[in-house]
Amino acid sequence: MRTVSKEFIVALVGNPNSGKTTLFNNLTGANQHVGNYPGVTVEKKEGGLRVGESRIKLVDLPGTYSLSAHSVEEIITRNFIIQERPDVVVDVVDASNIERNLYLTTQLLELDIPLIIALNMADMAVSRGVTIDHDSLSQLLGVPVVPTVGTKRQGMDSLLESIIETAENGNRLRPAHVRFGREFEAELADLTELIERDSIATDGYKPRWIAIKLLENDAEVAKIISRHGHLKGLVEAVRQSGDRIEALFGEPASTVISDKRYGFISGACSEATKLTSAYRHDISDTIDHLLIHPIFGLPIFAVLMWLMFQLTFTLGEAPAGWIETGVAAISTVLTNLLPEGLLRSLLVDGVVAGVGGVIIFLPNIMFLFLAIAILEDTGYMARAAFVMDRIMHKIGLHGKSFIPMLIGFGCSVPAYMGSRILEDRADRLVTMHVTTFMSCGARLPVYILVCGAFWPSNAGTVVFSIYALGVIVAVTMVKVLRATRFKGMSAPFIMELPPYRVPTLRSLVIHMWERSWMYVRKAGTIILGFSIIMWFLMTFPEKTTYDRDFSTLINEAVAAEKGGRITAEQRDDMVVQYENARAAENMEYSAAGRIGKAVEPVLRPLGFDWRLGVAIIAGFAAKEVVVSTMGNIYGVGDVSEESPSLRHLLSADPAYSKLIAYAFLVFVLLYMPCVAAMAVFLRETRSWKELSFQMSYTLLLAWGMAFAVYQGGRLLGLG
Amino acid sequence: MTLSNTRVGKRYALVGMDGGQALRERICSMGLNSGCTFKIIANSGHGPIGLEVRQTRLGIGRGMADKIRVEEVEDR
Repeated sequence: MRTVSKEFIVALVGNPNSGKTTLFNNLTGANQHVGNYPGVTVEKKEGGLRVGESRIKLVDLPGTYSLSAHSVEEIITRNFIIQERPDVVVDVVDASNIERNLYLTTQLLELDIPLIIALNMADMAVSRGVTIDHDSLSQLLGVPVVPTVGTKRQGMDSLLESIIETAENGNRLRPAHVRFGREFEAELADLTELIERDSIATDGYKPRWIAIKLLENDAEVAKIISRHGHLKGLVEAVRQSGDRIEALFGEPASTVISDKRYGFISGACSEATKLTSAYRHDISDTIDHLLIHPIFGLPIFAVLMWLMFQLTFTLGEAPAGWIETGVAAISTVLTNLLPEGLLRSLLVDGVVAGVGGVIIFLPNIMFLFLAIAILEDTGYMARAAFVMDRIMHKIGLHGKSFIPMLIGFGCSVPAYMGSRILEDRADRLVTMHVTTFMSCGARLPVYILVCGAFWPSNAGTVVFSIYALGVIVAVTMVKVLRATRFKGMSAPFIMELPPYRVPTLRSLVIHMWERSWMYVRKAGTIILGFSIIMWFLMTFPEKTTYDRDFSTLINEAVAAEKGGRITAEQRDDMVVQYENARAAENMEYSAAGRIGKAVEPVLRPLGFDWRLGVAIIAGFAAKEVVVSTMGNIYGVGDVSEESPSLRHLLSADPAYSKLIAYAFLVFVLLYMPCVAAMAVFLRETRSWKELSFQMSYTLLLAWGMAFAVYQGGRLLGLG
Repeated sequence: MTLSNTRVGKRYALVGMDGGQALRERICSMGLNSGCTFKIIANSGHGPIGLEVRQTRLGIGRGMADKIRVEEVEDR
């Protein structure tokens, strides 16, 4: 009959941690993260698949506990179901936690939509001593119930079969409605009639549903109703109904409604579920006993964090070395292959040095993201938020704020996206405004370079001091922001502590790779582009006549060694010295040098010269670019046996001291996020005002703190 | 008594909630409705309270816990 195969739209809904994302991945093959904290799937994710003749567009809706209008996730989910009218809605229910999960189901039933329940993780329920008769549950709820085990890919075919069947023929059963009792139903019937009479129930909204929502004081629905006029009578009728219900039940209508829903659930569960053995306390109890212990909880958290950073850096060392060797090999090959000139310089000094200097840190970043993925997938992240809430609350943040802040140590981009788990806008904005001080992985190369140059024996301690300073500044700024721009308390803390799970390798790798890929892409696009731009700025305009005749000076040195007046070593030193002086003159003459010179007066009070100015400006593109720019400034991109490392050049440069180096580190730590991060900041906040605030206050703070370090240090006679 | 001054290992029933409708509905949607019973798994007197309700665990901040009225019940 159909010549063109039809595309069905299927929406996945369910509680956070119900295994919804795993099912989505199984069905679409799309690789995504299995979340352990709410909000991970707050983005609308879509995937396509084919089943026989039919095509299915699967939409993964945000995890939500309810369809009230109190959070973004709830509103997104509800609006999608009502307005987009998917052909089938699949409600993923965690069988091991069935009562709480069915609360959302009762609200989906109210919508009278083609609904299927995927009864997920039935194996876990059995291991907890609960068996569920899915046929009986299906009869009670009036919708098909398909048992699935997402982690083992069980039940996928039956689920697809049921989806196609429902999409093509509609629901054969009648979705059960929660009955609220005779008096309440009478009120509902009156309101429903009123809504029908005024034909407000358009756009797919069912009159009974609207009546329930109005009695629940649902602000969103009230708004929709107000667009239809005929308002006064209905609003008044709802108010009177609400008053009568409250007088009768002694509780507001919304409470009566939710109690009845749970009553309905208890009834259904007592018929459809069987306790095969007494509810067994599983391993999560024992682990939780320790991990959220009032005394041991925090030290365990601290040790885990320390371990995480330790592993990140020690495990990352070896592969970073391989990449470094590879990059050096590429630049040697290019140097030998190409004739000396601008093209070779562009490729070797610009592209390879720029991108190579950044990609070296990929292993560290991958290990950090792997560690974060482990924390999330095992379920520990929620416990960490629990343990940290005590401290975070005192600071003026939400316990959950700590999650984006922790991710911030990896990269601000996913951290800003992660701050969506905070429902309250003020909480979210304060968290985002200080997340940038959680020193991201991209800033680490700068610290490693500078500390390696100036504090070779205790670089680790100095790097740690910078990280610690970032945390201190963040805490202080939260206090300041809470006292000024974002007055008031943080939103109440309530969070599910999901059962501990052994993460699957697949999901860990997917999660790690997704985030690392963002870093690689940044290296391949923004950083590559900026490296080329910087190379141009640093090469042109070319200087033709130098203050000193370097070629002659170098020839003289070579001749002096031949005549035996100086040693070969002395000759090499002199040659390098002349070459650097020439490079510096070139740089000073170039466009970049001129820009650096132009900003130098502003940076002078911090002890910075124009070269650091150029590096800082280049760092706007990405913080790692500071390193590659320094490399370009010192002309070490042109790798040869004799060229001393950048570290050596920096520490030997008379323009810098340890004090200036530290002021520079402080500046790099604090100044505004990179372009990529700012783009995400804007996308997440949708506010140019907040973005400009973020940019200006971080710049001012960076300048002020670097000024305090340099001038304070000088007063104390430190340099 | 409120959820804030409960003791670890004891079982309680929720008898009422102060605070706004949003708060009530939020708590309710996560499994805590009036009349339900739950067991306290963490309460150190500072910071959030951990409890187990309907085979799931929740962490609830102290400020919120102050608004949740409970009664001790016999452990099943």
